[in-house]
This record gives sequence, C-alpha cells and structure tokens, in this order.
Amino acid sequence: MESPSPMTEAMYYLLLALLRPAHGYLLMQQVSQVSGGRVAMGPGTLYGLLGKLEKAGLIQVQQEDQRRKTYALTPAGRQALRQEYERLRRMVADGEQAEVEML
Amino acid sequence: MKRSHRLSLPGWAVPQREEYFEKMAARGLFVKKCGFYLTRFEKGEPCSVCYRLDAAPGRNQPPEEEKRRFYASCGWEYVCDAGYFNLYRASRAGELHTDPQWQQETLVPVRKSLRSQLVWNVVYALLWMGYAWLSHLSVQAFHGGLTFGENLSLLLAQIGFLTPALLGLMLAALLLDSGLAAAEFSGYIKALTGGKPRAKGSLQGFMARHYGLFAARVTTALAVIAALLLTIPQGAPTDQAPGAQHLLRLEQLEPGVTVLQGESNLGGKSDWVEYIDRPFSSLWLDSTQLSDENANIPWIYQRYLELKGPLDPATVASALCKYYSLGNPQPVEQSRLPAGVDLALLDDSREDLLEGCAVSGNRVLYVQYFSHDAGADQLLEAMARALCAP
Repeated sequence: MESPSPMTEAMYYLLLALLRPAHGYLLMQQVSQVSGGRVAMGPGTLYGLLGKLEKAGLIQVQQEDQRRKTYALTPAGRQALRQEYERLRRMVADGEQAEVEML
Repeated sequence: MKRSHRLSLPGWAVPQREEYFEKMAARGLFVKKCGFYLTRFEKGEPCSVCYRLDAAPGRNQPPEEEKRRFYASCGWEYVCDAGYFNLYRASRAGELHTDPQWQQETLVPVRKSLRSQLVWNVVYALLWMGYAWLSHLSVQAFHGGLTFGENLSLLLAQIGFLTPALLGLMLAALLLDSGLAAAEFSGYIKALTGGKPRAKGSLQGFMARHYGLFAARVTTALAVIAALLLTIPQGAPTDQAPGAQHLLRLEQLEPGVTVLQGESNLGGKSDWVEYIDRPFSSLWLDSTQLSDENANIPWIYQRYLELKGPLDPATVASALCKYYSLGNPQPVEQSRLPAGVDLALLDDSREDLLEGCAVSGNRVLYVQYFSHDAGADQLLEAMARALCAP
C-alpha cells in the first residue's frame, strides 16, 4: 500500500512519535510531547491509525507480549515521514517567501 | 442492583445516544445492555460519565480483546455492544476519537449498511406497487382474470377492508424510518470534519420524534394484527364457525344423502359438507380422509363472506366467481331470484357441477355443488335460505 500523502495531522505526529519505538499508551503521551501538548490523540484514533499504518507497511510490531505491542517505524515509514517533513518545510518556506507573516 | 428499562434510541443516532446515556448517568442510571427495542440500566450513585460509541467490527459484535484492553489502558471501559457500535465509558474528559477523518472512515460501513436497508425497503415498496399494477392487468394468468378493482374488492372482503391500507402505512413507516436513518447518519458523518457534532439542546426533540414514530408504528402493527384476528376466526369447529348458519348443508339439497363424518386438515371434525369461510385457509376434505372411499359421493365447496367495509357486493360476487369458478357463472334474471336475494350468478351448463354466487345485503355466498340430485333453482332456494338465516 502507498504511503498516504499529504498525511493527516494525526498520522504525521504518530510517525514522529514512533521515531522512538513505543506501545499504545506511551505513544499517546509521546504524541502529546512531540507536539508540545498541542495534539492530544484519543485511543480510538490511535488504535485505528496503528492498524492502518501497519497495513501500509509504514510501521511494524517490534515486540509483542500478552498485554501490549511495541511499534516501530519501518524503512518505508521513515521515508514517508521524511517526505512529509520536506513537504511541510517547503510549504512553510513558501509562506515565508511570500511574507505571510506580514499579514 | 436495581434495574430499569427504557425504550432504545435508534442505533444510528450516535451523538444523541451518547448524550442520552450521559444524562441518564447523571441521574444515577448506568447503561448495561443496549437492545434494539429496550436499553437496560442499573441504578447507582449519580455521577458524571462520558459515553462514546465506537464502530463495531460487525453488527452486535463486541470489540477484539486487544482493542478492549488498549482502550481500557487509556481509561475507556467497554460497556456493551450496541448494534452497529460498541459502547465505552470513561470517568474523565478526553475524546475517544481525535481525528475526524479517521473516524469518518470507521463509520463508512455503517453508512453503507443503512443505505442498503433503505434500498431494500424501496425494493419492497416497488414490489408492492408492481403487484398492484400487475393486478390491474386483465390477464387470465393473474387471479383468474380479475381486474384491479375486483382484485382489490376481493382482497378487502377477505382480509378486512382496513388491512391493505394499514400494511401500506407500515411500509411507508419503514421507508420513512430507513430514509431518516440513512440521511441523518450521512449528515452526521459529513459534519464530523467540521468538529464533533453534539446534539446540543436537540435531544428532547429528537426523542419526541423517535418515540412518536415508534408509537405510530406499534399502533399500526397492532391495528393490522387486530384487523387480521377479527377477520380470521381461529380454529373454530365447523358447527361453531362464524357464518356457519349461512352455509349450505348437503342434506338441505339432497335430503336422502348419508352425511359422512370426517376430519379436516385443521383438525376440526367436519362432515361431507365442505366449506371455507376463513381467508387464506380452508377446511379441505378429501375422500381419503373419510370413512367411505366412494368417489361418487356428492360434496359442496363454499365460501361465505360478510362484507364489513364500504364494498360493492356485486363486485365481490363477480370477483369470487372469477377467482374460484370452474365454469362461467352468469347473472340470474331478477324474476328468477328467490326472496331475500339481491342478485345471483349461476352456471348450470355442466351435468356434474352447479356453481354460483348469491348476495343478500352484505352477505355473499359462493357455492360449488358437485352432485346429481338438486337442480339450479333448488340450489338458489337453498342459498337464499342460508343467506337469510338470522
């Protein structure tokens, strides 16, 4: 499955949080942390997105015990995150060039 | 734990159901089981609880164990399955879903299911209308060539003049219900991207509308059942069946005949006189059920109807003849009609069979008489006596 582009905010931050492998509940905290508390991810969204991203091959289960799964980015996931980051950076740069800040 | 039951809100009404459960929890009633018609609550200390409905893996299916554990680790406790959804509760604030786009994706199968229900109901309505249209065609293949008017008159006479209208109403209510469900749920999904749609202030109105529609549907269904029960006598023995006094006894036509006793296929005792006076069922005797296997024994098949609706007896009599007759009964001249009979149709062209229909007031009697002794005028007289019986 192709990586979704452009990504939703939730997807982007989830991949960002997964730069450090983590299990579900910890991921919710990491998403909040990497977004400076701006993005709070509900368990419904997180659970669904983990399944979707795993299916797309962007993340994989690194470790699994009876109680929980620890997820990590796959090489494809790292590449997708990098592409999205570049896309966002270009958008910001374009805005800066157009002096959007002056508005 | 003290239990309490309430009528359920429709399964597709996500924000309304969530708000309803939260309000009930604030009153000390905590949902335990969501049924299609009833929701079970248990009484406890009133408190603030947040309820959320999450798309279920299948209709009335609980969530996967892994998902349940994960939600629980985040503070969302699974309560029960609720139709298309699974119900969760949490005691603190915080949303179950924070990405509307993803939430929309999870709800697509529910929308698909609601739409397919609507499509099926439209198909049923079209079939009903198609049946009416086909009945209109004067083709021999349809009910012995009945026209739409005759067919409707016969149907109304047989199952009660209100029943088809009530069935139509039920179908309309189903269509309205599934149409509302499909439209409102689609609206809910679309509105998700504009922020989570809560049913602020609209819950009471929504509940009033839902309960109103529910009451209308239940009333209509009860009316249909009552109409059917009133028009279909249940398992009454032959001699006590409604209308039995208006039926012809074989010995009235052939005084010397030996009337044999037999058992009908509905279990009631009957004699050689065979009759039907209940719609869509019959007390059908055949020779193998009788003690005498002589196939030459005369017998009578008849149908008695008492018209209760605004129906034209002449049309019903004509329709009965078209529907049941083996021959072609024709109107009997006025001068030949016995006293008390308003009109009659008769076919005496066959040697072994006399058949006809007579009308007296709102009473209609159709008879097939396979025999040798009585003639057409005797049959008319006998029918008149039967119809004019008190």
